[in-house]
Amino acid sequence: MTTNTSMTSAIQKASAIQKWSRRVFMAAAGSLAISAAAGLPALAQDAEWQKVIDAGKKEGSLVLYTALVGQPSTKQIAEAFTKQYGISVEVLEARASEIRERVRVEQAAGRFAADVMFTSEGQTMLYDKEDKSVDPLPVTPNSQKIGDKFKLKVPMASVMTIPYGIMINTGLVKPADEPKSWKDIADPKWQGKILSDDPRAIGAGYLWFFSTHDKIGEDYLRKVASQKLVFTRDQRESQRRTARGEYSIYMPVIMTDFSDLKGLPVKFIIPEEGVPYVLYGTVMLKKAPHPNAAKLYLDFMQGPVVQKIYASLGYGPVLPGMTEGLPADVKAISEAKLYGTTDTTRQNEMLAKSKDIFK
Amino acid sequence: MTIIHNRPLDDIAETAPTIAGNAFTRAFSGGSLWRLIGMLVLILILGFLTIYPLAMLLYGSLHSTPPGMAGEFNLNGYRSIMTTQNLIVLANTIGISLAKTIPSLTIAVFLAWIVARTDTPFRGTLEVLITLPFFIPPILTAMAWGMLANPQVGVINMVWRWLTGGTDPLVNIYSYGGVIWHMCQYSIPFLFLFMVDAFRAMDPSLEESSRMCGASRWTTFRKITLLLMLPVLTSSFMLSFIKGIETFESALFFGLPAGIKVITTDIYESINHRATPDYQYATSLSFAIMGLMFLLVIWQWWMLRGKSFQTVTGKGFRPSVMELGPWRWVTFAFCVLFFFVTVVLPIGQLMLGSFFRFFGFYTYDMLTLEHYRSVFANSEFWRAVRNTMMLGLLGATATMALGAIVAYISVRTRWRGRNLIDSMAWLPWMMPGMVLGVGFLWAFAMLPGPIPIYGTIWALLLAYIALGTPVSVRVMTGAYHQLSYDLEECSRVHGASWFQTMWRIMVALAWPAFAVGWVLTFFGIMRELSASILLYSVGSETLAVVLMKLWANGNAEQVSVIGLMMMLLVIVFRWVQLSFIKARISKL
Amino acid sequence: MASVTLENVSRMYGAITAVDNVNLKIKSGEFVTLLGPSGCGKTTTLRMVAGLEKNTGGRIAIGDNVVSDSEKGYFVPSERRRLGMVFQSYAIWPHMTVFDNVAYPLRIRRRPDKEIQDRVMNALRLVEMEQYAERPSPALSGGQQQRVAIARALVFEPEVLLLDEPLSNLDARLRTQMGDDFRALQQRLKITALYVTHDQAEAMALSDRVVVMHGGRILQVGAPEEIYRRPENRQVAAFFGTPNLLNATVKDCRPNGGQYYKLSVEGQGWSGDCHAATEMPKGADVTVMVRPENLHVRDAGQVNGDLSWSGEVSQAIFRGSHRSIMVKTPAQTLHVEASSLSNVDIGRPVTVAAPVEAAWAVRN
Repeated sequence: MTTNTSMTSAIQKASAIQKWSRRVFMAAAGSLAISAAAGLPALAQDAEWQKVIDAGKKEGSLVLYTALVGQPSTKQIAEAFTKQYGISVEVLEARASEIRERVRVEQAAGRFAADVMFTSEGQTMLYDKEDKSVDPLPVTPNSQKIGDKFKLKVPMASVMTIPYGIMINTGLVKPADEPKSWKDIADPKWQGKILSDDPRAIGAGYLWFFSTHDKIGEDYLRKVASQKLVFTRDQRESQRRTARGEYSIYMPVIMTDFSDLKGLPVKFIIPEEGVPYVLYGTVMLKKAPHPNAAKLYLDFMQGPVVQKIYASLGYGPVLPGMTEGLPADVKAISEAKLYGTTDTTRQNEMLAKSKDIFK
Repeated sequence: MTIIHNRPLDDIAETAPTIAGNAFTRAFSGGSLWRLIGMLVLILILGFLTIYPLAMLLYGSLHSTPPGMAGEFNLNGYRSIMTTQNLIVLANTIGISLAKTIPSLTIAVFLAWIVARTDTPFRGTLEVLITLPFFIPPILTAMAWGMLANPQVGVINMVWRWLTGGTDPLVNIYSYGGVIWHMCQYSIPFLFLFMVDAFRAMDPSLEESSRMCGASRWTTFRKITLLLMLPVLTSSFMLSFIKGIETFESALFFGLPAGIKVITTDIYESINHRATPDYQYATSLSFAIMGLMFLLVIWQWWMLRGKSFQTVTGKGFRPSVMELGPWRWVTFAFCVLFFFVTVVLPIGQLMLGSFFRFFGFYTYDMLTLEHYRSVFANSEFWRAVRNTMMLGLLGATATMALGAIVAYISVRTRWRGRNLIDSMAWLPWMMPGMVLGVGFLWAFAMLPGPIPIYGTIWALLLAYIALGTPVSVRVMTGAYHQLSYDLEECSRVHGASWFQTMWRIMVALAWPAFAVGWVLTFFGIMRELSASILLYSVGSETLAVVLMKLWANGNAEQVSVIGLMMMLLVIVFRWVQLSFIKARISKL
Repeated sequence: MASVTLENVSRMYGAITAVDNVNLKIKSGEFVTLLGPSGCGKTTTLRMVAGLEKNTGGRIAIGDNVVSDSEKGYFVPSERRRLGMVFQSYAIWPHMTVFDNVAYPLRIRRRPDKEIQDRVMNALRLVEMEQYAERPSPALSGGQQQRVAIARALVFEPEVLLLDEPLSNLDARLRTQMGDDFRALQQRLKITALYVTHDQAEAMALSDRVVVMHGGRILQVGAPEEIYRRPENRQVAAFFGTPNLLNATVKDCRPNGGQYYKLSVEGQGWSGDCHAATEMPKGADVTVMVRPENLHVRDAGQVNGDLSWSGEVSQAIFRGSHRSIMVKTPAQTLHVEASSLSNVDIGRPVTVAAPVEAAWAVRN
């Protein structure tokens, strides 16, 4: 039972201005049928999609593996999907490294049990490059509608971002003293008062380390390191510890957890610079036993129903216009400026650096 | 009257004796062929449960990639663990484990003696109560202790400051002491459970005769009682010490914030906190530890070789207790103190917290039954309870049956191969759980397609049996060491087959141990997560998986509710078991 | 009830021979005791008959059936030999009541409940334990446990009853009483019994025949009186009681008309007649055995027997039933058991005499 279930691995930084051609990518992926479909006029596309819907309904069920453990939203979404398509969803949850190894071993042994996987961008890259356990992304009606920065090179249909910020104990920190930005963490007045997710291992702390390293610089990190941080690896327990008054600040905190702590003397702060984030999405696993249902699910995850569910929980939706009408506190988190994420290719170098700075 | 000296029998035989049966039955008559087949079957079962997953892990440690991926064989894994850093961490780990095992063993021996051999008041109730912490998921007691003994706002420190007016904390759970203390909470009840029946089953005349020879009570305890308990004591020590090396939760919770590193956190990190799980590193490190641990097993064989520890003989004895006089209130006070510190404090927190919206915020407006309602309304929880109960009942029974047979053969026969099966049964204990879980995943998934184990509930069952076998074998070994051979031979001579004897005499006589082993295994299964998470399939969630999901979703209070229910189940189990024993003893 | 036959039976433990080429036939209904000091192989022999040990050489048969033949690799396990056994420790299962203990052999054989009830109660009645049937077995005294063990061994009418020092854990009085009871029971039921003990008195009182063992070999087999009075060699002679063993040389040897030979022997400072089993050449060295209870102390010079020694009393111990008197003679100190009424003074010169029937010579 542990730590950082949502944030698990480094993620390729997605550039907002990336020029991304679906057609080229699809062709490169070698999926002839899909690239052909992509070239067809809209009407024909609709007809094609209807075929997928029919076939998916015929398959009748879907096996979803998810690395996002314990979230009630998973079940909520599955029920909504079943309601819409009449396809039942079986969910298997495990932590990122565990679920990845399961998929890898299952496929190596010729047991193709799972259809889709809900995981992070960084993990998807590993599924794709190292394990070769995912299929190229299909074109679905909703896949064209999402924000451009969420259209990725890796074969993952982006669904939402998990934002990380700062949490304070309102009993210990006066409103005037509240840290407003990541830079404020380096203020010497917080010495010994900060509980921090361990930046020396993959997780939330590392995500903060990575993004502030690139955006603010190493000096800042060295300054924070001299604050005598206390490290932990359990998000939920650390939030509680801070709430109970062991520490003034806990960072980086998963912002969406705020709703679970309502009523406690804590405040979740969106740093001025923005929130480091992890991008989650759905991937199609190789030789999925229910390939059409899987396509429907991928599409469904990017559709307004799911996007609204995630936005209402504070996650950043990939479909524009989903935050309308949300309560102000949720809306602020859901719309928070995305600060940065990690890059799997620089993993070893950055982990070493973190270990060097935070001895 | 016929006096014969070395003359052929035929001279005197009234009728020539004949050999009954045909050639086939004769071949089996000696029992040696059956024995051979039985041994082979047993070796195959144990091999599948222990050697096979370990072999997969060994492959993983020697291969640049995990099974199923292209790569090459190399020793990089072993090379990469040979660092000074790891050596320091290893020394640290061993130190922590020793620092917890020795006091735990001492306290557990003392408690077992109090409960089993003295007239301390309420010892029957105490016996159930002092073992409770063992059955609570470690994460919960860790949380409770974090609340009680953190240096800033821990309850104990607040009370201390209020009493003394000082500002320094009395205790800090985030320290070496905290890590060791949290481990002790599990090892003391475990060791106590493991040993108490051995103390109970001892013929008091063995001790009395020592007293008659002029030895003092203390000398008798040291030279007779403890030495007669040697099999059980050495087994306990090893189980506890090895577990201490592999313990993970305590170090992660209380050690990490204080910068304390142990081997398992290193392994955990290499699997869970690197982009690509480094299975080669994790498995190599585990095998290196395993090699060291095996030295302990050899040490135990050497200690026990050629000695007899039979304390239960065919001559009936009256289990008697030592009358302590006024001292019995001292022993009683010790038990109560132990109960208060290890049970009331942490479990009280959990119980209290389960009625409030949040742990630690005990105000009137936070009072709620919502957590209970949520748990009871959670259909996934009930499904997991059903699965876990089924797995627990089947798994514990099968594990204990296997353990009883293995222990029997290794202790009470001279069959060839008995040492082999004994060491095979040790193996799963020497692999850290999270690594062994991966071993099971690899092993079961890589079975040829037609063998339907992976992805079914049977995969969990097999993994649980493998994980439970070391304890079940140790429990039964300790019990069998105590039984005299006469009891068994007498049954055979009077017409009972080997299996009948096993069941009616050996299991029946060793059943207090069997029952304790069963309970230990059952709750081991209820708690097991490392292998479960890798082997469960949709619909076969276990309780531990559900607990992990709830925890990950921030429902610590609901996890406590379930933890408390598990504890209730323990009390029921133990009560049934102990009242059974009492019913037997009260007849005397 | 069946006979038991042992043919060239041996048992090796590695290089050590525990039982060496033993041949023995126990007739149906006979009570045979294996007697010898500890380590003589008697218990191993019993255990081989029981099937608890495998003989490494020879054959064992119970009744008409071979149960173990080491050359043919044939071995019938214990439970199929239809035996009853009483263990030294009684091996009463502490987790069962008296009734359950005794019923065990019947339950194993899946007899109907009614039959079990009847036969168990019969067996318990036989050992006068019926009123204890429902007692938990650990709550019994040693003698009671022993009775239960016997009842258990008899309850299903075994082919042969094996007893491994069953009385050794009892006190002296109980031992005699239990022994007598058991002998009476055995004769009443005509059970074939093989009994192991190191107690000579027990062996003599109970057995039809005694088998004296030493170092894994049989030294002598015979009726108790025969072995007691006419041992075949010095070792057997020395095993029973504390006989006076005197070195002597044969002067003359002639058949005495019956089974034995009459010898004239001469020792150091004494001479006289005695009996022997075999013919001895003149001049052969022999040991003459005279049991203390057959010696008589007379006033010095008074010769009234076939053998006599003169000496003086060196020690006298009152033992209640008799008086042990040590008489120092030129040959050696003789042990005499005299009536406890006789009064002897230390240092008084006396003559010790024995009748010719009481002196038995064996070859050295």
